[in-house]
Amino acid sequence: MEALRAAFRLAQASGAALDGSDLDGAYSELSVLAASGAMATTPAEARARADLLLLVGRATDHAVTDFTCAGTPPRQAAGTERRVIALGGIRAGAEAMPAPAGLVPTLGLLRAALASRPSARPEHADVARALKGARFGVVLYDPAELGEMGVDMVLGLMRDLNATTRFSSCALVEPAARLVVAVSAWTLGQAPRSGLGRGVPEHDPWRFNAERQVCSGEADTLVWVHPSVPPPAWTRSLPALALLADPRGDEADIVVAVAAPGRDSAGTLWDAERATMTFRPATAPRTDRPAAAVILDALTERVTMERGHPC
Amino acid sequence: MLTLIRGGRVIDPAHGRDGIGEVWVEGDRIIAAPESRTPDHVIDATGMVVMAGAIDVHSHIAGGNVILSRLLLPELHVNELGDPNRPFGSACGSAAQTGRLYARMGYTTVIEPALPPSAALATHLELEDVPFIDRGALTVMGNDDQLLALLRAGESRTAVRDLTAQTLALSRGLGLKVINAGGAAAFKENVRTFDLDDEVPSYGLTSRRILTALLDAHEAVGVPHPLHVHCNNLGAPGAFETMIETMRTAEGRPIHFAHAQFYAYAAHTAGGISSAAETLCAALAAHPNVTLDVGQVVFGQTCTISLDILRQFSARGAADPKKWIIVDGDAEGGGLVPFNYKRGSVFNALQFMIGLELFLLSPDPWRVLLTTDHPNGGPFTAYPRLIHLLMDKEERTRELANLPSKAVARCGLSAIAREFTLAEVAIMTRAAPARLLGLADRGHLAPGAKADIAIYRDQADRTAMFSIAALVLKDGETIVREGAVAAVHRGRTLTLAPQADAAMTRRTETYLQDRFGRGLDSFRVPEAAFARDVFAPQPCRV
Ligand SMILES: [Zn+2]
Repeated sequence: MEALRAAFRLAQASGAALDGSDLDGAYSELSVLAASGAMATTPAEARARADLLLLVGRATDHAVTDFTCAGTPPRQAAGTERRVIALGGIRAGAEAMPAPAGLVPTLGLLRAALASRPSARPEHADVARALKGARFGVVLYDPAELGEMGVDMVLGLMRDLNATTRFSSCALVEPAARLVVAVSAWTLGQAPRSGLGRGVPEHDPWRFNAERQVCSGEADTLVWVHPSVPPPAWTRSLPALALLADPRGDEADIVVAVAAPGRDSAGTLWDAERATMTFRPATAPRTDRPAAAVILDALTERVTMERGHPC
Repeated sequence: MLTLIRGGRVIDPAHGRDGIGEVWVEGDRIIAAPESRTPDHVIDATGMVVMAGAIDVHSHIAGGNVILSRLLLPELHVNELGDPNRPFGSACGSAAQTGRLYARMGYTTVIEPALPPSAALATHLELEDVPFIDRGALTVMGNDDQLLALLRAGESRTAVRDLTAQTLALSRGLGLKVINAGGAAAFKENVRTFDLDDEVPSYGLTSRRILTALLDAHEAVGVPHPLHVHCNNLGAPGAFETMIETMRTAEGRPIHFAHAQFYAYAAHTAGGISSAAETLCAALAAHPNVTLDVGQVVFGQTCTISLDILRQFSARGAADPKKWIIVDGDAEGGGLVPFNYKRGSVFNALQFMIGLELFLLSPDPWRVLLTTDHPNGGPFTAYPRLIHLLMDKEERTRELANLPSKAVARCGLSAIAREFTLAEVAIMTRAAPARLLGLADRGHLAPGAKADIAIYRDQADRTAMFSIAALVLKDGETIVREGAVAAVHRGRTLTLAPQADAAMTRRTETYLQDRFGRGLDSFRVPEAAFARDVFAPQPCRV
């Protein structure tokens, strides 16, 4: 949280563009959300309540899915058995539903089966019945895997099912991406992939995609702030500063070792299972590493001084 | 520093003051006029009106649902112009802009009315980033499994009180709110309409039972602000009956009704709605324990934000533009439905007129507060225009001339001659909300009060007058001058700190571990998570 806030201050002072380090999944979800909306729940609520879990693709093998499937659901409707269906994947304890046509087309075929359209396949009749019969069903999916078309298909499925029963969904998005989207929304009024070069935030997911800006030569410097993830290869084409918790030292032109929040120092992080922010004390406190926010604020101070702008 | 504000018309209804006079400020407090001291600084308020800083009791300014509303409607917050030196403060829809726009109008305290205990930290971190003003938030209970399970098991009032105290303390709420008690829990079990005596299926509890339990617990904990209630049946024709029945349920205990306008609808014989404002105001007169805020509708595009997911799901068909979000959260979650309130729509015009009618028929300006339920009825920036309409009958007549005659005929507004006085405006926006929230240190100008002061140029154009304060002091510091930021001020977040019961703490730890795979620590809002000393605890009643 503090590193993010400081990164936004630095972007403001320097007129930089801001992007999240791993927003592809988040963006598949965000663009559908801005076009059509969403029906979502938290993994914690799904774990407590769902009598049917439909795991799509990579969601069959994901830590949040393990959490969601664990234990006996305390809030599950009386007299129901939890059914777990793995679409296009295999998972112990789950019924496998093959997706030879691909995940998104199979989701489309499931919708066809629900609506008894001519394109419906007989082999989907049982799962369609199960979805319709669920009291509170939840679809878990990875929006980076399904892409915008797929996320839109999941939302369509939610809308179809909620005409008669209750159904919701969980998008498995990187926790760091969730955090940056939230802080960006309240700091800029917009999602990240926003530019501050013209004094006010301009939001444009294409223009301010960092990878695109770097690869096209529009950007001339990069600051990478992600304690646990080193900058990807495309960042090597321009002068870069990386703030990392466990650096090798050759990840960028300048590498600063910073405290890892929740490990070296206390910090507010995203809890993917509760789908909200949580404060984590340091598990192995050490004081020889500066917080990323301290480095970023020092840069902001210097930039502000040199540009002669008030903060 | 000793500051003297002189020459202005000082309006302080909490102390019956209305006339040209002085206000003395030292440090962050208002002080009595000193015997023989020379002020360091004199503010000449000649031709101006001096009031305490305004207070908003119900405005959705932070939290997960407010974040989602920005992501759902990015087109609503496109930036065109701004102050290049303050890009966050001029960023449309940002927390920084919220603080700045409130401060500009002379508002110095704002309450976020929906603090979900399971996402309290995130909400408080966002509130911390709303500058200039003090903030507070109302902890939401009434759909959470721990409470409902406790009631189903027939546990004692003491147990419900202990859980309530603990939830308030853990989430750092300033008050307690209930939103369609049991409605969200029922919706998760596929219930689509939910009235006061309908049951949440798997708990066998009626909405009335949950509400009554919270009224009891609220009283036992000693929360200064009355239980803040969002009733069942919001927006439905005939909803006024639900609200009146809920008034009766309170049996004389203090109760506050949120955004009453959305309930003041009677079913019209020819279809649609007509105004029930008169009936509702009569009920208000008969129940002195009741207060309400109006939730005035303002014409234009907005995005409604509510934890009443049952109601929001049923309103999805009216979404304009056609997109909406329903989140089945850990208890309530949230529903977001964009609306475009149109002058040409009979229903929207009636909503607009019914809100004004509630203000103007109100038996007591101390009990009917100005809100738009931001952003549900419209943005809080409409307050100056609304004050203008309340103060000026001719202005209202001009406004009504543009509304469908069918709507005007279904509402008594056009016949109402009442015009609010400046003193009544000061009650409705300062003295009454401070008293209602139990905040003795604000909403008035007596010695000892916080030096939160708004100075307005007295003009016939009340919209202009209240849109841009000539001067705003927060904690004694000049933060706004002629509507522009004079100094960035970081306000505090007001909270209660009721004592938690050790046995309930242990039970909750077990419950949360079982339910979320996480203990209390995961839900805390620790001071260490904040960049500054942000919390200002307020006492509970004893
Ligand atoms: Zn509200």
